[in-house]
Amino acid sequence: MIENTLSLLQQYLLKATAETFEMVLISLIAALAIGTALGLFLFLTKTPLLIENKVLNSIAGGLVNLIRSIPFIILLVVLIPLTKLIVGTTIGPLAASVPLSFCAIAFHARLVESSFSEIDRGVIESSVATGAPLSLIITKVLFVEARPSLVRAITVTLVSLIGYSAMAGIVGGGGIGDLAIQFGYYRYETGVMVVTVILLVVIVQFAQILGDKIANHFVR
Amino acid sequence: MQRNNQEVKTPLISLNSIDVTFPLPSGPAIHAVSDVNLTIQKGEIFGIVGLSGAGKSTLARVINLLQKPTKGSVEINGVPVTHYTGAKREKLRQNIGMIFQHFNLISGSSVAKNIEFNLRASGYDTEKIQGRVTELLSLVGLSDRSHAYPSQLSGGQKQRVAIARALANNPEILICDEATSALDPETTNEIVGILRSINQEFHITIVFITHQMEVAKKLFDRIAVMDAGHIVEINDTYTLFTEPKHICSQRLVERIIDVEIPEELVVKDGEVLLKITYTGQKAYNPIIATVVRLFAIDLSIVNGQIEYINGKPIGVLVVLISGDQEKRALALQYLQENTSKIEVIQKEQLV
Repeated sequence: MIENTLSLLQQYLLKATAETFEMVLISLIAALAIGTALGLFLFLTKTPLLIENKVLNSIAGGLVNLIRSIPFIILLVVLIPLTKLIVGTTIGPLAASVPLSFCAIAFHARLVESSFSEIDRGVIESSVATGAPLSLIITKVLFVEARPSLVRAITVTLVSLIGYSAMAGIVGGGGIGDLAIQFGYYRYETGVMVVTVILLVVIVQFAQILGDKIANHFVR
Repeated sequence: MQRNNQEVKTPLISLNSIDVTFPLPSGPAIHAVSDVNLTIQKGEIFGIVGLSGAGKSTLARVINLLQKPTKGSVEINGVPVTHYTGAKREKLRQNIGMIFQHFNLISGSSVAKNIEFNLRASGYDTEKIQGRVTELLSLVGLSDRSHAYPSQLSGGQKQRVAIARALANNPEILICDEATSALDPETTNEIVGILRSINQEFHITIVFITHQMEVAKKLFDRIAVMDAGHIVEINDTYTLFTEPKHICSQRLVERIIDVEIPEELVVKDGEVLLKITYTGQKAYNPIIATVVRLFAIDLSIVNGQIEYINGKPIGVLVVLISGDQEKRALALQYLQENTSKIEVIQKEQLV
């Protein structure tokens, strides 16, 4: 029994972990790049002293809500044609990264928007009053003031992505979560289940602690 | 102590028929500023006072277009700027420094970086930024705190950083929005002193919004009183304090110049309770001693106060005069002629 578990783990665990990392990393990068930009855009277009624009804000906000309202497991399936178009295949961790990225971008955009919204209005007003161009306000005020909160947002997105990546098995994405389902659940390999769950818990704890540490470093 | 007498008066800021309304999704719009006409001269310290909600902060924000007026026009140095947007508006704002009640420093940046932000905002020569930051910090006496973060500073220090930052680009105008309202009296005096000295040294025009009449008394050359969106009175500081015309001005001035009359005081027959106000040169005359000597009446001082505004005194004295009818009348007449104002206080008024 134990030997069987160990041999299964030896055979699949490393590969599954690598797949999880691949999926999470790709979608996290997408969230950081596009999600942050989208979140910033949402904030800028709703703030009077910056570039308030109700129409653009509603369009961007509506798009984010659209993606966020589709359950991830359905998004995985709905986006299959698009996935094929982008990565040429619908199977494997790379393919699963496409819907995961969509989900991550929308999720992270809302977190980023709320991080910027926490900035003291007075600080924004005083920086606008200096006559600084918007680009300078974004880089030297908004990102500086929201830094701890943005780091926490990244941590939350990362942890959520690790969770979502477990569902990637549906489209043959693999990963730690898939390993747990395939062996731990369908084949009653409780040992595999226990080990994968422990591994996920450890990874998430590690990500959270690291994220908190970095965020606190930026608190002044 | 009269400050700007050596300068020829030139209008720097003109606000013409300014209206600011805030539409509400439900119900009527809020009329924050109504039909304000105001000219502020180059080099003066101009105060806008009023209770909270009077619209003074909104009005101040019209000057640097943080608040676009619904109606009316803003002129700076005779140039209409109301319609400015984009780069033109940025340029205008670089010429108008602003400090706030809650300082509004960038909390995640050091003191030096906060000042640097304003210099970068105007595209200041990168190589000269460090030198300018050092210069500004020494101007406000904070040379040793350049690496500190705002949270490590006291309120007064934060406001000094804010002043240094606001002066970074040598603006012509400095707007102070309740800049001393979050500070204790001692620190308030310190900031008032700094503002006065930069006004004298750099001839920077200061527009100061406040509800603190202590600050008005010490700092302003001229004062506009605002009530419910309107400017109800404009006058030089001394005149406003000595002869406030509008009820709203009178209430504000009373906070500084007011004498209490003890409730226990009973005015008996043959006595008269008098409130004497004297201003200017008259404040120095030995009026009380003279009146007692001349008319052989008894006079006891119930309460009194002397304030100095722009170096000129204003005094209020409450006295109880007793003596026979005729002498009292003569004394009253003498006081009437030799002081600015006398009021006989009726007993009913005491309650």
